[in-house]
Amino acid sequence: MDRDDTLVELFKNGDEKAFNELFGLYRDSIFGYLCRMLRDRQSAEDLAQEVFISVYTNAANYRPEGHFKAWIYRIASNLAKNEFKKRSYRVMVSLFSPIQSGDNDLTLADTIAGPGETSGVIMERKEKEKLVKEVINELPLKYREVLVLCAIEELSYEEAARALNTNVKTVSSRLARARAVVMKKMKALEG
Amino acid sequence: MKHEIGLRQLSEYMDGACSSSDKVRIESHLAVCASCRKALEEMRTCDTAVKEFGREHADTAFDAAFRVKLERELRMKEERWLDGVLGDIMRKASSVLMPPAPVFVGAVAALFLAVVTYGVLDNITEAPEIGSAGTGVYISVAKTGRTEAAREGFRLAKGDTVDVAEGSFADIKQPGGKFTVRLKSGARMRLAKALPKYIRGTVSLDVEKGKALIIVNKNFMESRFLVHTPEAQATVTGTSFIVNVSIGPKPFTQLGVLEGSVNIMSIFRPKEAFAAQNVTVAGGEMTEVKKGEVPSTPRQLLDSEWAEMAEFYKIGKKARVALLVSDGKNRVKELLRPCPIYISDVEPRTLSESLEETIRIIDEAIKTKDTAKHLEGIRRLEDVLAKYPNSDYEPQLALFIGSYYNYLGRPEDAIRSFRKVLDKYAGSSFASMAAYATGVVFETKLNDKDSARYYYVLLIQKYGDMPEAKNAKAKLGRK
Repeated sequence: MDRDDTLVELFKNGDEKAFNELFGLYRDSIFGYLCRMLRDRQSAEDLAQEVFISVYTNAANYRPEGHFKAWIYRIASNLAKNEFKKRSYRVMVSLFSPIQSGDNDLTLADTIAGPGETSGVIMERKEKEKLVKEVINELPLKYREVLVLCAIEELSYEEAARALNTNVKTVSSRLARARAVVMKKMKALEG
Repeated sequence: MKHEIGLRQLSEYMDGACSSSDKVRIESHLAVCASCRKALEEMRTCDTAVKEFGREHADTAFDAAFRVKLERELRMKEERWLDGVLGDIMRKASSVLMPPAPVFVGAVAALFLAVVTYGVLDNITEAPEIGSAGTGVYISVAKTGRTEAAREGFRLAKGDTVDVAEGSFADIKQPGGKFTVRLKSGARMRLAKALPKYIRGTVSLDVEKGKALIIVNKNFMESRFLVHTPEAQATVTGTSFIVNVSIGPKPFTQLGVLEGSVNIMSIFRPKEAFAAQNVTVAGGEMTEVKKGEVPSTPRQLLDSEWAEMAEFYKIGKKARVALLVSDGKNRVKELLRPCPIYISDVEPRTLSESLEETIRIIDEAIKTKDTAKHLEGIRRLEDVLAKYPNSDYEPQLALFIGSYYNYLGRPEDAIRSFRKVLDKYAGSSFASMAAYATGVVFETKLNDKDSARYYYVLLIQKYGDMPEAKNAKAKLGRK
């Protein structure tokens, strides 16, 4: 039994600390995945919390077969897809949208600097970060989700296939396609 | 050079996801192909950037917000579970007790259904909520005794009173769009009774002053909608209506109907005289009820009254009735009338595994007519009571368990369960039913007429106003 399954089993037997450990292990990953999927931090936070509530309340239904990672990402993926449906009639304001026009596209996220970073380094990193995020965000959903799962969150092809309810071949071809698009766009944007 | 490997294979190779034979083949090709090596390098660089900058970290407040949400969800789950307990128990009540039941079991089942209409409604209601409100709208919360500023989404509970300041307004809506109330400037309204979940029921609003426009939609067909004013009671069934309350030196109530019809009666007349004094107000008409007098003969709405009612169309699909009421001190208590019950069979059920298992056991017991299985089902239901000793549903469950025991031919256990209701909930509307059921079991199953008489007398003395008292009197009269 792998680490995740052991923690789930402990939690199913009433060990709250085991859930807290799972929460700590996957919090940023799930949040990050949803951020890239939804392109909106606030919605991602809300949905990530929903994911962990779902894990908490449905742990009894989880069979310990070594697929916890795929299971939790599948919950997140389904919630994200539901959110897309709702968004079809809503206008979203993203943290990564410009605060106001004529502000050099400064976003709310940009106003929060990391510790010890000089302004020059910040600007350079910010430029690069912005570029990468833009490229990822512009990818069609089906490519974006495999890229985030495999390249960022480091799920195996099998895990990603389980999470997205598809097969390994599809994951592989979509990932290759996503990488090709990202490479091409980054080249073009970097000049 | 001919490229034997494509982007997908390169991608799989980079991730270590290709087969060992492919790996050898790709590496052989890379050794001799500079452009493929470059492509692989670019892919790696790209992936590194994606990994570095594509990550996100949750804010520090994320954990605390999650804990709050989790607690709320767990609390709601528990409430849903209890609702589910009641819903399923009631479904079982009909399937267990009704088909093969001897006379008394049928009677107890009927009593049980009566419990639903009399008592449970207070516990499992669908609360209307504030849709939107202007400034100066306050809610006197009956449960806490505190006054809170109205905000969107605020759920009203039975007994809560909404006060609207001059120049402001408040829209109150029922989940599912069953009805909408617009309280206008200076209005005050108390939610006397909310709509029960699962079953048909009654909504009752006490409009004390000011104007309230009420729209009841078509999907309210199976329930009753009452509006009480100091002078009158308006009853609407399966239609829409509006209440408008204003203060005047001489208290009076006015009822104006936009479409359809509404029944209105004075509340100061002897009850027996009501039937003769009911007035039905049709669309385009209005009537007036002065304090202590019967409603006036309906007359056509004036143009100005029509104009005022046009506001209905802004807050609902189809408004039909308007009620104009004045202020007054005397209130009429809500009449509780039994109504047919309807139990929602919504899937998926949100019951715990243990209760699902209980339901399964009871289902199987009914199918196989296995008494041991029935008793196992009862034992599990009693476990539910033991686990939630003071839940709102305890008397209903205890009453059900009693009737279930009786069905299985275990009158002593049935009496034990009924007496639990009688002892612990002596002040509730369930007690009279439990007393009557105890008496009937003593009389018919144990042939203990003295004990039966004791419970009938107790019922008449303590709960003389309850419907069961009449039955008890009849039984004593026969002896």
